[in-house]
Amino acid sequence: MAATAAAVITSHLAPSLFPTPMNTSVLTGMAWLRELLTGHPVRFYDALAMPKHVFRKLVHELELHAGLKHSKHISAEEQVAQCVICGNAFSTALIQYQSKSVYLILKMNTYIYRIIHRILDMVVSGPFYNRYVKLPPKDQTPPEIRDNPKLYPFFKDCRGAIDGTHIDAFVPDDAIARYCNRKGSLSQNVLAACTFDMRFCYVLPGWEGSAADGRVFDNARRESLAISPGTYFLADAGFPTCDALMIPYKGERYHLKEWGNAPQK
Amino acid sequence: MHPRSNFYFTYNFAIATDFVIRPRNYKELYNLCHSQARNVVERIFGVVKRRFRLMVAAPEYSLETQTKIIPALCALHNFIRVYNPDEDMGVEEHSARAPRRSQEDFSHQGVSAQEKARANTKRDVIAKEMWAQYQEHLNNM
Repeated sequence: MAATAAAVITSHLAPSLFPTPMNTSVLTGMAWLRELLTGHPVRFYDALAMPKHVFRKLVHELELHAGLKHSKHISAEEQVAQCVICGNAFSTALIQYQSKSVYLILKMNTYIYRIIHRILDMVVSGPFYNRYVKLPPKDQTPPEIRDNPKLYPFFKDCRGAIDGTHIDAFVPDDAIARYCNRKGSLSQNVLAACTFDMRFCYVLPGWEGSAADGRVFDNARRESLAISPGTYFLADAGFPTCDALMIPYKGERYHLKEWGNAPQK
Repeated sequence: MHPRSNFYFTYNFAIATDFVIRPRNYKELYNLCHSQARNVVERIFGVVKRRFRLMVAAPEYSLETQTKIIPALCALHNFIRVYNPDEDMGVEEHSARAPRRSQEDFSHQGVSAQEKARANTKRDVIAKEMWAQYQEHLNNM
């Protein structure tokens, strides 16, 4: 009995007590990246969150529009890879990317820190950012609306949907009160509009978690969000009623769950 | 409209059977269509947060850098959408969020009473047109 219990416990605990290392490639830096680039597509996707051809295109576009260059010690591809890995799900890849030697990790960290910031600045810089994040054309009904008889022609002037989302934030002590949201966690409120083909067309980050969506939108509309007159975006009931938005009727059933669970008549 | 969306299902089901409650008035019908079309923005957040874990990791960077990371990742997401449009987003409805604040009222100083009335009229026109089409559809069944 005791032996069985011991066996069960061991078999359950062993994987967590003695984990098998996963990213065990001996390669680091450019050699590692080259291995990925010539290796299996799925492995590349896991590490960099995009297929190879998109990665090559990204490096090319950044070189073309944002002034990305090979530096003395580190190639353009490697710089971008570092930055993307940093944003990617599989942060173990970052550890893989660096080295097992402590000295190298410390040395690489300052490098990586600087490079990540440089690439980050390039991506949010006007020439690159505005090419890929822009409001949809004024006089063109999105195909997703046009081809849907339930929505067309009613929403023919609709260009997308807008909403705020809370992104967890790391906040210094003196700003905690402002960043504390309704749920009690620390976040920034990011206002984003997207088109029906799942692309962002406007992003306004940086508002404190305590700010309501409506307030952030009021501010965005005054400052930088120029929705063409005659068109509008769909928004939820937390947003103001105005020309540029279409919000639901308040006090009526709205969410699908409410529909599914509604009592039968 | 995303093929996995259950819009058609709900809508047609509501029309075709008496099991699910039908929209009772033009406001409910409008809200149903609105919620389905608006769903894209909730899905896109789900996709980006899953694609780039940095979005949810609250990295220990300065606030200034944290505000830069968000648009950068959104731009990267767009970039990937442009050059790899066939990618399967693998997204079910991002419906974890409870209905919120529908009864709360914010005072929006930025909007004049005139604009508000105009926007409400526009919405009523759309909702009533929808309702008319829906009634016609029911009669033709």
